[in-house]
Amino acid sequence: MRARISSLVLPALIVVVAGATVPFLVGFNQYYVLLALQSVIIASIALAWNIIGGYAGQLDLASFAYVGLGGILATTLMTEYNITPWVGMFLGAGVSATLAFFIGYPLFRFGVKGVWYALSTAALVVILHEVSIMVLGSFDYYIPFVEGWYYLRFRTWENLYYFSLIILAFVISLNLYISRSKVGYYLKAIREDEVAAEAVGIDIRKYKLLALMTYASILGFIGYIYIVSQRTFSYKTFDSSLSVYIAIIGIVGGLGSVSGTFTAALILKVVEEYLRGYLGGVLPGLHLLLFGVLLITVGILRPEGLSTLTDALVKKVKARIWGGAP
Amino acid sequence: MLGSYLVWILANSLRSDPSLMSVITVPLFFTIGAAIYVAIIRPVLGKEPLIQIAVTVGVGYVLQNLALMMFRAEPRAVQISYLNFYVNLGLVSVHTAKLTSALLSLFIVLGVHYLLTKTWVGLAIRATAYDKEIASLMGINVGKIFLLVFGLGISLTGLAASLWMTFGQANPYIGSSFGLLTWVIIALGGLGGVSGLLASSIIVGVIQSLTMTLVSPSVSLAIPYIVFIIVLWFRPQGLFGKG
Amino acid sequence: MSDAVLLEVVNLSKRFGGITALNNVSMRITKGEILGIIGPNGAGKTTLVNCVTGIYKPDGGKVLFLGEDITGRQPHFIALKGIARTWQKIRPFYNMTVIEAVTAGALLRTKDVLKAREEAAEILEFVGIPRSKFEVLGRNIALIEHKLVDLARAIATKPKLLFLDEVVAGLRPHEVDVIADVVKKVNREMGITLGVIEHVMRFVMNISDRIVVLHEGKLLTQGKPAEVARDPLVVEAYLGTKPV
Repeated sequence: MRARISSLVLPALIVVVAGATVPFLVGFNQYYVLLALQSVIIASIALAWNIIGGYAGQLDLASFAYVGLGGILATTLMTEYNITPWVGMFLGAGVSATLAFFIGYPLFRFGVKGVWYALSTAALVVILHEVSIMVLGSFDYYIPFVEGWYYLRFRTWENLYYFSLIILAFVISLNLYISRSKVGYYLKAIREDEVAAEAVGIDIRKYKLLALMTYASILGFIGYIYIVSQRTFSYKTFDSSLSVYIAIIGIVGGLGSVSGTFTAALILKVVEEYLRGYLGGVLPGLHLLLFGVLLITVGILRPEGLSTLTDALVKKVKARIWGGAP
Repeated sequence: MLGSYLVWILANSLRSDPSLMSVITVPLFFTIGAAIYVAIIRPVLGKEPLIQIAVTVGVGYVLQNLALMMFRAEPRAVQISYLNFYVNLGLVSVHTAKLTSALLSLFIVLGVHYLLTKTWVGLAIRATAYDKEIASLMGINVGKIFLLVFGLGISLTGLAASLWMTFGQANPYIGSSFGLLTWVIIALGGLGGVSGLLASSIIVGVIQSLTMTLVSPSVSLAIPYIVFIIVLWFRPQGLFGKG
Repeated sequence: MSDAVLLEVVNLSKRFGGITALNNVSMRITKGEILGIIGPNGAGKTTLVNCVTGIYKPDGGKVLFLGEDITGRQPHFIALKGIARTWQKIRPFYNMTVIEAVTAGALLRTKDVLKAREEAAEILEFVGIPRSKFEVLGRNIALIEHKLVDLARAIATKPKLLFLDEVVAGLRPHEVDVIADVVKKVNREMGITLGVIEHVMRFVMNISDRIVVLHEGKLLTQGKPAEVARDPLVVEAYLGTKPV
């Protein structure tokens, strides 16, 4: 029992501790700390996606529908009603989970899967995009600055970065927990063969919905921090292209692989930043183009993505720490 | 989307009406479709469905961002369009280019229907769609059918692009918006039946136009997608088709 | 062997468009027996199993399991009640290991993953899959191993009734014998009642206590294997001509 808990918490702890050193390593250069913050947020979103995409095998293209909904709610509550995001983020999680239920329940009840599921989720982002323009107007501005833990906003990025590391640790542990639990086995079975899964007693609708709502609530929670890190409060948060990007990370990293997804998120974010910095003015969207090509290549040549590499690496590291049989 | 840009380039450089560019785009797009099938689709046919879908999403993603990179986000329109005037038809005044495009499209749809129902090739296509194992046992070269169908489908989008450019504009996102619209129509009309598709595309078009004028342009953009999700919830086989 | 009726199928019918796959079929399976279900192609054997296990909703008739009406219920509910099945066209969990696949089955009866895994290991060894194969991915095992793992996965759900859908299809003769031995073991040592759909006569005649013959969606006849094999109606159904 102790071995199990530590194997859940330890990897997350390692990531947090390693991550916490980053601001020091870059001499608190705000450009890099912000970059680190954004990377950790994307990694958390991708790892949440891993639950519905990697474990349950549903190609969900609506991540930023949930991120946007939770984030815009929390931000609005703060700017309009002075309600702290510490409440707002949890409300965001709840609202996104509710949306996920209203979308997922009918979809799964009627057996919508595969390409139709992907398209429905893609449609969801567009609907929220248009609806938010309708309801709130085409808002797109910097959020007025307020400071303090009450608002989770600061003059420098470090505090928010540390907070995001804690969220990342949670998502990693959650992933590892699911992977080893009954829910994880059931989700993977659903991913592999729904019909066979049902025949061994798995209620596929219930578990898919569970995965979807878990994923949505994490995203709804993280929405506020995402918006703060982007520094703009905009209807553009409902971004279809970014939602596909998250799925690309999940696939390139390897469906169901925590280490793979995490690594892919970091690598792709760094590549994006590099390309944007050097060629962004000249060739906008180049990084996305390359990621699309990467997705096609991985799909054709190496569908398991980075997972075989990263999992092997993790095994080696584990062996060194514990010495001998894991 | 790809087609629209291509047509835009060709029509402007050749100083001619975009619809005539279909002479170039149709065969070109057939080849492009065939190439995409061979290079990208065929290799993943045996793999898990999520990977298959992801790869096609990847293709769209690549094309969209390619266009974004090359042409930026502002819409582009052609300079010359022979039918760029309005004609008075009793109560309404109709833009001729749109009218001719609509009529030509109808003609093409009927042509496809004829192909599918009255020719041997059409029969082979329907047989393969129904059960590809049995079809191949009956002597149909399933690989060639897939290739043909893919090429044909893409070439029709090349044709559609030429027609579209007679009155519309090109921007990197029309690929996704038309694409999603297409899937809405299919979800509504069911796979495989031309009559169902005709009916559902008219319905979708009418709903969209009505909301655009009666409610707001923003809503009209979202309407097809809402309809889509509703259709998938309650009627996965579409309203008319066998699904 | 008690005479308790485990499964009762009453006037079951199923149509697909213009085709009547099952036409008022009635039969029963008693506790502890191995029932062979045979018939020419298209007779409705797999349709029958699919209707019983919830994959199809019947158009008419009833399915009673231990007296309870389970007609038209969902597959996972029926699995929970105690009916399991194996697949004619194999349905492996390609990206899960052998032990993981069977553990997923065992998790129906226990929440504890470690316990489920132990049970899975026992069952795998029982059917003849060695420990060395436990960590192999589903995509990397041979056909005979697929069949055994499929069997193990179904047994892991602790069913009272297990349907084997053409389990020896595609296997070599000595592999067929391996399966036959395992199936008999499952019946005798685990007390699981079996419904065996099959084409391979040697196999089904060997292991069955009783045979039921379907033809064109209807029950043709039933009885002991030897009787059924001699029945001229059965011969005609299979060969299309009256025996000389």
